[in-house]
Amino acid sequence: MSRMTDQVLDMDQLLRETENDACGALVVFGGIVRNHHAGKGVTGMSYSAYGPMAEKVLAELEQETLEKFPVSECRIVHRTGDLGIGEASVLVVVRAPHRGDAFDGARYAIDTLKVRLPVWKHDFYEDGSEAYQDGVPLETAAERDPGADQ
Amino acid sequence: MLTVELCGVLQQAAGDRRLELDALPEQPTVAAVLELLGERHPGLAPHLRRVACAQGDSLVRQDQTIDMNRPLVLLPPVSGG
Repeated sequence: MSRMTDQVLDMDQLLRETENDACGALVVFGGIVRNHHAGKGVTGMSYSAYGPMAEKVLAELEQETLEKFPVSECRIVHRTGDLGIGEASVLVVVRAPHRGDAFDGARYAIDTLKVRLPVWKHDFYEDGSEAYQDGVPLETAAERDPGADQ
Repeated sequence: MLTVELCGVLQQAAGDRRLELDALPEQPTVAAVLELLGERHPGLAPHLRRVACAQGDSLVRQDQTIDMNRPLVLLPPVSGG
């Protein structure tokens, strides 16, 4: 499975791809489309991405997680396109010999994804309105780049 | 002529997915292009301090010179996951 896909995310495939007999711990994080945001009812969501960079960011993040934590397997996939309530937008699968490391690695992977991956959520609300969710500026935005105003 | 591609909320702000910028200074930096964009497309101006830029699969810093032969991709604050 590509890391960025417009297809339904396949958890079983990820579990097969990461099978490892040396690992006693498996942590899966799933990001799921929920039915509310900022006090408003949500009926669905559309995810868009800058594909060429997003695929690279996820590959690097998998490798970074493997290097920073004593974990043996890390796979991350993210969906794009129109998603309904209850559908998975992201899956993070981490396997490690021990559970603490697997939890730590999975937490790091999803938290870092949230500030690095060029993906945008567009909400559709029950009242018929729609809006892009605000997010986190990437590291080279002027607001975060100390050299930008020099 | 520089092609500028817009992502996410920037498409709404500009009313388009792609813009063409001409009459740029020679070897413009990211910061110089963003400043010109704000002047020529006022709808984008409120977003630009929070926008990062990429060419190909890599981010380019504000003080970096742009490769005029490749589109400059504007990335608003991200909200994946």
